[in-house]
Amino acid sequence: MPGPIVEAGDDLVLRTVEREDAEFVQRLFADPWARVGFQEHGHKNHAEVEELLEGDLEERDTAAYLACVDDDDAPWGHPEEDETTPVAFVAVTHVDRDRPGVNHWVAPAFRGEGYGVEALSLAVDTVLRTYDPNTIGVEVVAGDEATREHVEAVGFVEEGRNREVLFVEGEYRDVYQYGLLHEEWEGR
Amino acid sequence: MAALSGGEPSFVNATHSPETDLVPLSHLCDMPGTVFRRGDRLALRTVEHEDAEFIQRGHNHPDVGVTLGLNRPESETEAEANIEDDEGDPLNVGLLVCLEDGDEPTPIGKVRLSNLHHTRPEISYWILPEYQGEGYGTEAVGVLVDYAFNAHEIRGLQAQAFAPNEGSVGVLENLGFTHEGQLRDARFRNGEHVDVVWYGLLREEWEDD
Repeated sequence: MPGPIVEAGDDLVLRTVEREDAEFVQRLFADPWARVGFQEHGHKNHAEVEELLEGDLEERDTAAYLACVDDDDAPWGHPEEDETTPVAFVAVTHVDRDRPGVNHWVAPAFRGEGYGVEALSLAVDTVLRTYDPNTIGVEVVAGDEATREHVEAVGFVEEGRNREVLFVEGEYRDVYQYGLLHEEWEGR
Repeated sequence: MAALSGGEPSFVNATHSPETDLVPLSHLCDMPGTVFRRGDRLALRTVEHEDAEFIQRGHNHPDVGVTLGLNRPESETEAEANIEDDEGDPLNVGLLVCLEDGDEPTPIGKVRLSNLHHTRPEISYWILPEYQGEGYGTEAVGVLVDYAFNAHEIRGLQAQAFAPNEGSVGVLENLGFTHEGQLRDARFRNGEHVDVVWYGLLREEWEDD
């Protein structure tokens, strides 16, 4: 189960990712569109995801969140399994640099509810308030329209298109570069 | 790609400043390694441990290091360690750019191909300030691009530079790279936030050229 709340929104809270959340995160790597954002072209087994959680995701310059729908009586600290439902995963890399990168993934069962936009928005808010980067970047694979809609809804601006830079679902795909300046977020 | 790769940025050399108060470094160096690929005036030679001093001096030069995205000094030990890291890494290829106009080759810069497992690996390069403006960058990177497409089953190549970066961007445009984007205020260097420009070259664009 995820850990304490680090950011609270209207419908979602962002909680810390714990090692026992490997099963939820593992589903992301079965999604061919989502996993490329995490530098993976194939699936990962449970042990590999545990290694990722204990390795890269626990690095000092990485901030990872589980976006959860809490029950009314879910505690701020450590919820029981029936008190919160993880619906999305957000990982922000290089939070101590000029331009951290954000990846987010909404679990298939919870799509179409606006959770992607809210999870991404909460993550941007907490990262800008906590680490003071100048800009935040997101990459969107051409063809992943849902992700693109989330990113644009949050206010990211398209800044470029790298041609045929990833091989996903049988084709070489372009990758769109999106950026958001700190001042744009403040002035939204 | 950014995200979880965690690698250091490998920006191409951008400045084009001819003036430098440092002495040319070439005569301080030992004999470079063997020729790997040749151009008209230049050769790309293997990087040897003895080249650490030359590379270190290049990386520490403000007109080179800043444009490469390096923001701290590099000791000779670190330079040696970087050379050794590359030796054991099949995904990166570093080569010394040498001027072949005399009895002995003169090292004037370095080129690098990184992330060879990516669909579009990344190239980066630098030429010592006193040798810029002669087309050496274009020639050296052209030889590297030729090698990359001939030896590796890659879809394309990419490169990044800080804006404005006429020298480095000029090299990419000379070689037919396409400007693919400009990431606003994406890096802090030289006291300000600067844009990062992205360039890409697909295999057929190189072969048709």
